[in-house]
Amino acid sequence: MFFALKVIKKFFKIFNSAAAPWQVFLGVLLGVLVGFLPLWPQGHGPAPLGWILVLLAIVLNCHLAAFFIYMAIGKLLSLACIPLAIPLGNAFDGLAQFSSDVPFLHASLWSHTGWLGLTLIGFIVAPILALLMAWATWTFRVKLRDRLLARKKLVAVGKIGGNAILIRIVCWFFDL
Amino acid sequence: MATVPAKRPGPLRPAGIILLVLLVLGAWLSVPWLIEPWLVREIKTGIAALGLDVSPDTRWEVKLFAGKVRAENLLISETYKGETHTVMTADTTEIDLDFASIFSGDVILDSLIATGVSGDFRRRGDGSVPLITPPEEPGKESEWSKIDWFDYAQKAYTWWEERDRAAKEAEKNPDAKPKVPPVAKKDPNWEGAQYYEPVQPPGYGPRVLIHNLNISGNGVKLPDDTPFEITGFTLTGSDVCLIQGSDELMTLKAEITTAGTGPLQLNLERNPGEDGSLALDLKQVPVAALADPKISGDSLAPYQPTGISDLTVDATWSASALVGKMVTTISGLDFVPPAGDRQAEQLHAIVKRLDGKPLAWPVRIGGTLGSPRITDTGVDDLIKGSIADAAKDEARDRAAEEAAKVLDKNPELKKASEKAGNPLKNLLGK
Repeated sequence: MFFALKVIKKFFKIFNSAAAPWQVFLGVLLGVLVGFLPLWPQGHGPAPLGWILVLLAIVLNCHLAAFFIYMAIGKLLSLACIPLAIPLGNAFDGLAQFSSDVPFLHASLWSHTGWLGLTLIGFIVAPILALLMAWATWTFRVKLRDRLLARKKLVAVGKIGGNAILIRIVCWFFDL
Repeated sequence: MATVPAKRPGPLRPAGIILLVLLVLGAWLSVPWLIEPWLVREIKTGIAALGLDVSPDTRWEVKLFAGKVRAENLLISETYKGETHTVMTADTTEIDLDFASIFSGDVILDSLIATGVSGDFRRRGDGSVPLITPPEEPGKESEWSKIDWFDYAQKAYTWWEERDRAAKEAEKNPDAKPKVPPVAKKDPNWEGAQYYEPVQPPGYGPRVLIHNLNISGNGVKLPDDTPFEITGFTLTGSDVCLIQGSDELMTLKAEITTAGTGPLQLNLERNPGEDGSLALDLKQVPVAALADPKISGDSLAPYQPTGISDLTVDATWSASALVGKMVTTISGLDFVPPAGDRQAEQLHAIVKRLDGKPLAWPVRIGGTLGSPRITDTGVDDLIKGSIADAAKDEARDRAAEEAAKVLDKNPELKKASEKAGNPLKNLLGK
């Protein structure tokens, strides 16, 4: 329970970190993609595209916590999307066949209808989540943080007794 | 107090770059402990995938950056229906790979050197042959003497021609590669999903080239125990390949000694312009060995031929047009004509007249490399040679015998003949 709370706290801390929104965007984008794309699936060799994204996450100045958290979220989402991935991959059968003739794409399992389906879902979901997180980060910092800090000060001097516990919990999550 | 503005984050993470450098360095340092042992395991797995086992006593050495693979005391065995059979041993085997060639899609070996090589393809207990066991019903053995090896050789040549043509076409026009649909396979780990494996169009695929080939061995046990059992061999060559580059002169030299025949020497030269020459020299082959049913089936065995045969082949080709000569010289030829075979008896009488003198049979060959044909059977030369003298002697003897029989039956003619000083006999030389 405490571990789950710590993870959630880490997630909320993303909004209040020193990182710029574009760093959060990049971390989430790469994290979700790595979560959806194969890295070294059973029965196949290493998938170069997935590993290149991991290396990019290390070298580019993205938000690492966002990358790791969203990699886990992406992996869970990809497991949930398996029933959708196969029909989607089969619908892009032509792309799978074309990829079999391109060594890089073939090694990255684009010629596998299941992994191709998950990769395509990842490419759709990742920018959406990344944009949402970047927007949420910007909104929190511009519109919410100062208000929360002001409320926290009021709670500290005992002026808003009714919401004190809630404010303290929210501030703890956001590390304010 | 003035506040310092926060530093804007840069696009790259310095710590990440350092980490990346450390990762590369770690990977480089881990090569002897992790990558090279993994490569050895991969080699063993590859051999095992062929249904073969490598002895645990074999010492492997892989140098990734030098592109070298070395095996000492190599012993490869095959287990079939519970019967384990050593198929190959070698004292040392060393492969020096041109690492850069892998990225170009070719397999280029700077050298392939093996010493103390021996092979054993002796039939298993059930009559099948190791390594090349055909997938057929149990108990039904291949009749090796009836296999059309020439047909196989022609098919291989046709494949090579197609491969060569495609390679030249690809060199001229890299975009002209024909499209072959990939093969769809089911993924056993993911129900409902399938994956596509690329298929190389006919004639395409990696080119294999060996700059320096040197293999020497102690012998090869063939499926049946015949005088052709190889007791030693040396195979040397340079720029050995099927598809030749414009600056590659291929040479291949083989020297083979066998249990019951003289040495065999083969010299092959291929120039890049589709010109080449082949010289083969096989000495002291017992004709009895050729007549062994394991070698030639039932075609020669009933005649129990004896004698010694030498074979030389000299051939050259230019733009695939083949010109050559194959000379078989048989000394001390004799055979046993089967009872009642009149034709064989007549031939035997002529052969007896040879009295062991060498019989040379030159055959001229032409056509193309892919479909060689005999342009001159050499029968004229054979008849003009020592066999003509033998046949002449035999015909003369027969005529004399017949004349004597006629004279014996006709006393008047006999008397007249004696009076005339036996001119008929004089004429016939008796």
